[in-house]
Amino acid sequence: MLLTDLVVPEAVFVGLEAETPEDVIRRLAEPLLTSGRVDDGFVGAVLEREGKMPTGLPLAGAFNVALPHADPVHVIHPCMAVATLAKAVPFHHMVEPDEVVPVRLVFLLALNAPDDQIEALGQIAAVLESIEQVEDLMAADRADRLLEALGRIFVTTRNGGRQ
Amino acid sequence: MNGPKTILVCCGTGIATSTMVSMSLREALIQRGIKVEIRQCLAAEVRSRLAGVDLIVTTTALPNDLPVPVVQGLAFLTGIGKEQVIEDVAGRLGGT
Repeated sequence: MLLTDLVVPEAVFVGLEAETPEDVIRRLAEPLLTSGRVDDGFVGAVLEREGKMPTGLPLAGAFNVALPHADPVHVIHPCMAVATLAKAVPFHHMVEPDEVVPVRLVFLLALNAPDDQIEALGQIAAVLESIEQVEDLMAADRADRLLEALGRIFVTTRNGGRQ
Repeated sequence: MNGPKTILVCCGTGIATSTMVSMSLREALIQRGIKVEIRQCLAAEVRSRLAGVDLIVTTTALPNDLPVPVVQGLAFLTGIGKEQVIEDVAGRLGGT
């Protein structure tokens, strides 16, 4: 399964205006909820998890990422939402929860069966490792272009072998 | 003892981050010719999953009194300092 198979086009945001991680998570989750891909408990579960075990991740380049997600029980159809943020939003650090990470790129993950989704997750990791590819995502000025950029990146970072 | 070593990869929910780290780690170790068994778990269940585990790689905070060495695995997500962490993991697996 490719990452672009999981990304919901209505849940791709460019230059999203948000002040807090909660704002970001609520906005990203809305299209997933209204389309029936996650249940009513999803947002609360993601917020609770983000509070206890945050997902902010400092990257090598100028932009940092957060990967909010929650227990699979709330996922009806596996999917994900993606946003670039208009300005940095302070998420907490995944390993050092007391530290704040200014985040401009967010993948909200709604996954339930990691075996199916391993390749897609590997593609996210491959993107995050590349300063150029993260910058390519951040440069997108419209949602359709961000989706296109995701498609390009995920094709070029596929390492083959796995169908 | 030359059997494959076992690495336990921990993250908050045992689903997303630990899967990414496991993939990246497995690939890096295969390139070095090191065979490992990789298991994944939630940070909250780590104590009950330690049987037969040689090394823990974590992307979240863990208790600091675990009887198994712990390596911080964010490098497998971000690429930052990845080579050093791979060396560290490889060294620890070879040295026991």
